[in-house]
Amino acid sequence: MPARAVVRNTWEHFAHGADIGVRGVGPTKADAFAQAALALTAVITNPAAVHPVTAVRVACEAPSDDILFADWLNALVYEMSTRRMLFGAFVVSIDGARLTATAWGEPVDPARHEPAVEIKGATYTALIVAPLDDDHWLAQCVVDV
Amino acid sequence: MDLLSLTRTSETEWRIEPHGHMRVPGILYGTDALVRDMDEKVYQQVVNVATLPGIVRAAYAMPDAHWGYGFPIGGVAAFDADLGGVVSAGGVGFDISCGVRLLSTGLHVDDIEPVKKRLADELSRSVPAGVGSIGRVHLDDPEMNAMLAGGARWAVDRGYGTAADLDRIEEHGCMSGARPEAVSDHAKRRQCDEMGTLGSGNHYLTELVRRAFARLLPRAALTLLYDVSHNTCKVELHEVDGRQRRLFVHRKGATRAFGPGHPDLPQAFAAVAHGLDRMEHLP
Repeated sequence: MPARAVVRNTWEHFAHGADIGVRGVGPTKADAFAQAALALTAVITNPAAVHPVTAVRVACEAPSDDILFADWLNALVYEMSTRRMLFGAFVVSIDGARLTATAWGEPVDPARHEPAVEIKGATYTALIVAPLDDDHWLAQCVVDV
Repeated sequence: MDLLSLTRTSETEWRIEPHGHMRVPGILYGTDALVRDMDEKVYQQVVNVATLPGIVRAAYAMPDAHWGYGFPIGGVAAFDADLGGVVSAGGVGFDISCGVRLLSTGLHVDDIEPVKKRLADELSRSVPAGVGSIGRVHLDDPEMNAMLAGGARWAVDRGYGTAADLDRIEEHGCMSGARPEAVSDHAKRRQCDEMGTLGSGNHYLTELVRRAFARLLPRAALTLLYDVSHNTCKVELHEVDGRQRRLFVHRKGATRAFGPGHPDLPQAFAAVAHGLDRMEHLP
């Protein structure tokens, strides 16, 4: 019996011209979405520097996994923009076409967070939601900054 | 870009012959060097645009076209509404109606040189920018709708500009036929706090800039020379093949180039043509 691969939750950025790609990897689709959300925050600031003071509920629904992923990130961009908050922790649940999540964060503190850029939205460019291997999911797209 | 994949039709015009699902050819403008330096993804995106329903004549790419979302930046395409033509967000870009506004200070560089650092600091203080910034313009629902319908005229009426500005803004800063009720509450809420900020908002900053200059350089005129959007989709009438057609013209990182005497040119520029940044034309 082959050894089970080490389960990992990771995020990273990838290059795209003047903008930037966000990528999340996790043992489930929902975990990959949560990791990509950390990558989203990391475009602006260090996610570890965001205190989980306030919980914000997010819900979205879409006909496919990739559209759901773009909608998820855009919902976070909207919450960040209208609440003037940053988020540093996410719990995501996906049931078929519906996503529900809780994002924890705090109001932007320019002196402490030193926000680098403002994200305008998630795009369909380099948009992928797919199993990466037998043990992991990948979720990624380019975000417009 | 591989020039061998293109058909050269003039010194600065190149054609992607229709293939696959392309409904029209792609046309790229540029010298050998410019087109050779274009990302191969521009080729693919021009091909993709050429497959869209209702596209008229060709999918175009300007000389500085580069990889965008859906359409290339520097991409231009017109779609016939009567032939199933589309309005594509990817053909406009995220920065809807992003543009260029050129203000003339009336000053000499020597006037600005001694205060340029203080001026930069003053501009930075005066113009809210970046994540978490809040503009000084806050609108309730009726005012938001009035702003969306009135455009630059609305701003001038509330002291965020001058009447003279309006003649120097494309379309006089107002698209006729605007339907604020069609804009979602979601979008309006996001817009609400972004007005008067630099970043996602980028609206109604001119007065802030004028005030910053006035504090340090009171002689500065800051008259508006011209303002043009380069991320748009507009309904326009164009004569194509001898027939007037109502088209959805997408310009993404491209502006219209008006010839002398064009009715949409401001009176002050009636005798000259313009094309302030990237130029395009519909043949």
